Amino acid sequence: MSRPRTVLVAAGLAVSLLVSGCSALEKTLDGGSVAGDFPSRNVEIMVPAAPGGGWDLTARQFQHVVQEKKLLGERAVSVVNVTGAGGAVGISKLVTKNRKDPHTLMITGLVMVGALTLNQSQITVSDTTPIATLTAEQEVLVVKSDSPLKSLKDLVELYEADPSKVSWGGGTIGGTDHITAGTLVKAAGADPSKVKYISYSGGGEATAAILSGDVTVGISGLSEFEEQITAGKMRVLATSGTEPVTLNGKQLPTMKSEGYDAEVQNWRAIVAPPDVPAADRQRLIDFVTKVNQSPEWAEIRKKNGWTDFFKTGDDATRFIAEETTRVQALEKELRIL
Amino acid sequence: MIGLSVFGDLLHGFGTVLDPMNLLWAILGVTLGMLVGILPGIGPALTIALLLPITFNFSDPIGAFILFAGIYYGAMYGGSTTSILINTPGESASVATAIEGHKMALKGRARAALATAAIGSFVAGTISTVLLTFVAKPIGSLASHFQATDYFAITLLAMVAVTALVGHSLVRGLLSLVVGLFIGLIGLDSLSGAPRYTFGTLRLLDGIDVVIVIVGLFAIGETLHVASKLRSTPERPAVLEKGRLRTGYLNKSDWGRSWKPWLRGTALGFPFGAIPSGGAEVPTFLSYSIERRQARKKGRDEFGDGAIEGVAGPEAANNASFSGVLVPLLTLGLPTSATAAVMLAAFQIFNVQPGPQLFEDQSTLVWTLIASLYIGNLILLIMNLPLIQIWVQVLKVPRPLLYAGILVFACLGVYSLSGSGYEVLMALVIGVAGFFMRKLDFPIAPVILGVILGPTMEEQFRRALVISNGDASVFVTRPLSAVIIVLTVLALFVPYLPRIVARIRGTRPTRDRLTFGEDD
Amino acid sequence: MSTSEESVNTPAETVKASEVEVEASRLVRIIAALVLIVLSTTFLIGVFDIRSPKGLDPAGPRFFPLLVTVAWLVLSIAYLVEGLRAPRTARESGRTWFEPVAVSALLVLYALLVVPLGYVIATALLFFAAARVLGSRQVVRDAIVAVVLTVVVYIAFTQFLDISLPGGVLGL
Repeated sequence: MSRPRTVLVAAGLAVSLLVSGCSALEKTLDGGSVAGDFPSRNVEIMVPAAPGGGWDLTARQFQHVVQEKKLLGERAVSVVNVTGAGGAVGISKLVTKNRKDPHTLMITGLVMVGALTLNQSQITVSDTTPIATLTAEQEVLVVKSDSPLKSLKDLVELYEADPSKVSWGGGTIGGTDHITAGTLVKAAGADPSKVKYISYSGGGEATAAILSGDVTVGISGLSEFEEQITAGKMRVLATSGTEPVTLNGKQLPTMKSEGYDAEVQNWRAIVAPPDVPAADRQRLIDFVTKVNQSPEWAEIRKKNGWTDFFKTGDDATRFIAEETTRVQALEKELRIL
Repeated sequence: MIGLSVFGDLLHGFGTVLDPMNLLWAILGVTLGMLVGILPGIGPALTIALLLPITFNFSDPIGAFILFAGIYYGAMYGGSTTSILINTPGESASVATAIEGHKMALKGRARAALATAAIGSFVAGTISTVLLTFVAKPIGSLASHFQATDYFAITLLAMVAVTALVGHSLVRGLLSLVVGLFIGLIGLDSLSGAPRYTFGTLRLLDGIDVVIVIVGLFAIGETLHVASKLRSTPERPAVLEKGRLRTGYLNKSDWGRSWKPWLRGTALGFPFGAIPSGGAEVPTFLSYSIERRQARKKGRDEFGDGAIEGVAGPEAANNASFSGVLVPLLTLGLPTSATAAVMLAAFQIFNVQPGPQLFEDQSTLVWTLIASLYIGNLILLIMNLPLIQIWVQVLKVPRPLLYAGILVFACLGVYSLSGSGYEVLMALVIGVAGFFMRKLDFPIAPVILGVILGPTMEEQFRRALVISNGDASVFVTRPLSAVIIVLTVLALFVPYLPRIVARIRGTRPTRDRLTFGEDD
Repeated sequence: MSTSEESVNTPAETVKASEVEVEASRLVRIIAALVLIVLSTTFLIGVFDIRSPKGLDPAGPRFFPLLVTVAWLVLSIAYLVEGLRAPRTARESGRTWFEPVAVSALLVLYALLVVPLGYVIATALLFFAAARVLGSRQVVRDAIVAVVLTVVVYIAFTQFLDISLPGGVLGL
């Protein structure tokens, strides 16, 4: 073969691999597993994100409790990270490759609902078999301590007067923080499509942006801003849950207590693949309930600042479906779709 | 406020860290760090995240933090070894080191390159730890003063480094940069949520991880390149120059040429670590370009052919950046790199609140941690100088085994990123591109610069515009941004100033001016 | 920054770089330039497929892709011109295509087989085959190194770092 032609062939091969390989080869590349009675073999918890994040921490702590208490007898639990597209790669693997198999579980949460909606994914969290919602984390709205905004009402009034004066800083677009901003604005009767949301990635970017005065208001999980609040560098306008949170002996206001009918819980759940037999589903629910009731799990919740948000079976299924509908509608109103 | 008490606190810290158990954690940490620094794909952030659950069982959090800190700066050092010996950096922070370091190894100067990296890391690590000890508080607030416009200006300044990386032709150099910038565009646009160049697949929504680009271009591209020349170049082990001299692995001239880059690298690494600009990459590239300029000013242009300054500077910079990262982490609870973010999570799990109160509330922990940095740096040096003799044996491994091994570790690195063979294919496609780039003499480093800086540059630019409601004047009206942009312009044009002046005066420039497509 | 031995020994002379340092023939360079032009044009057109409520607004998602692809196209054309102008003096030396193509094929196979076969088997085969393609003829030594290396890596990663690698047919 002459050299130029080989170059072309190689280049062509490379490009076609890049384009076609992505979808066509995925099946071969990922492998799959088989079904059986639970627990007839080792259990795998899939984390649809990289190690180190909230889902990963949940999975590894969950694994820790199961191993410590030998909740599955001699069967072991392993944690596998399947990264990609805010969890979309992980859930598509669970839904398409692990159908009926009760030995592959996945951690999911509100963040994934937002990401799937944003990606206009065909698959939703409701396509899985929800086992239980486990924990929730409070969102918090903060301003820099020298900000003229003293209360949530000040913020909303500023927004109503001129939405372009308020920049909202938080995590991924369409994620929990963005949803919180949208929920609040909507509850106040203002126009969510005017929300000037600026997304930051992890690593303290959002914290730095709030402290430098780049954004008007910051939104994130409470633990993310805790040090700054304690140190007096940030002021809390509201938290997002129903139950008020106490920090450093002071009860923080909630969006509800400030007079806006809005609530956002950054919940995390554990789900099984679609079409798991009813008997296996019940066994999984019992198993997860045992973990949730253990003192070890309570200790882990406390350590990480997670609230107990336990709903199982049909309750969990219904809750997840409601959240999906709500987020889909909200993202349309926020004009990010 | 900071006075004699610092010495007392530090002394107390040394007392705790010299406890045999804590020493063991420090040794374990730097060793593990060196290993993950060498392995592509497995970085310090991932390692700490994975070890976190194990450390829950530690009765004393101090041990855990000594371990984590050791992993972090051990990794900063470890990356240099493979960059120098086999031109395959394990982290983006050691890409700049590979450029001159590997050329030195090819010339038989591997020992000197490894030695200047080890000693430079020690010098930089120690000086920056001293800075951390005494000026942590005043510098700590630096990070909280930077706004989007300032970050944009900084990325512009860092882009100037590309002029030092272009190699033989400006056109090819800039093409490499542009391709890197394009790779950075692939994936979900973080600010609008719109997918860009994802060709409808889920896999590309997250973009292409810089690790895959590095592994593809360097490890796989290099292997393919070597494979294509097997028959024309007989295997010959690199001829190593004489090992131990009276002045160590470095000869007199090496020492003379290394110490200034060490200091300049430290001066760049420490402050850049302290601002959230993504960690160690920016200062290493800047250090490389500054050293190149300095060398040229002295009329000694060995760069591109194995200049020791090009190893000494970037290696000092990446180690110094670690202490810089600790400043806002400890004093503000503000992580400025991915690894720091994981460390912050670790602090929280142990119920330690980093922030202004930390130095009072957790005095023992903080000062032991700082003391462990002094000790850890020393351990790294003591461990690595003898190890140089062992590392250079890598050059004697038969070529087929060496490159087969590189492929195995390259695949491992990219596979563990996502747990699927898909990433291996992606790295191969990029590797094939890297192969042709070598054939056609395109420089590799500008691609990495583009992949790393492009996304930050775009994000900060657009954030600044969104916040200002589209008013572009923010980039020049904010003093800090304006100053950095002026610096950028100066950095671009000052090197050519003598020539420009000469032209205006009508005399012929002493050297050829930079022309399109020619050697610069 | 070619890493070839030749370029290392090339003294920094006043000779035009494009004549000596570029390994590939003029034809390959022209083809490469054409490929770059085609790619950049495709991606430039692709800018307008990006979902953007703000059009080409500098704060929107299309602005940077537009800048990058236009710059890419312009530089590719400059590269083509450079290639067309270059004299036909490129050196031919004994380079082969079999080895790089074979290594690439091995990596494709590896990507396909690592999950079904399992990490240990697939990786040991990769090492062994790659060493052979790269010129090794010591079968026993290669096999031993392949197995030891893979098993050590497997144990280190799965046991100490808790990173899961596929067990495959060995059912590890």
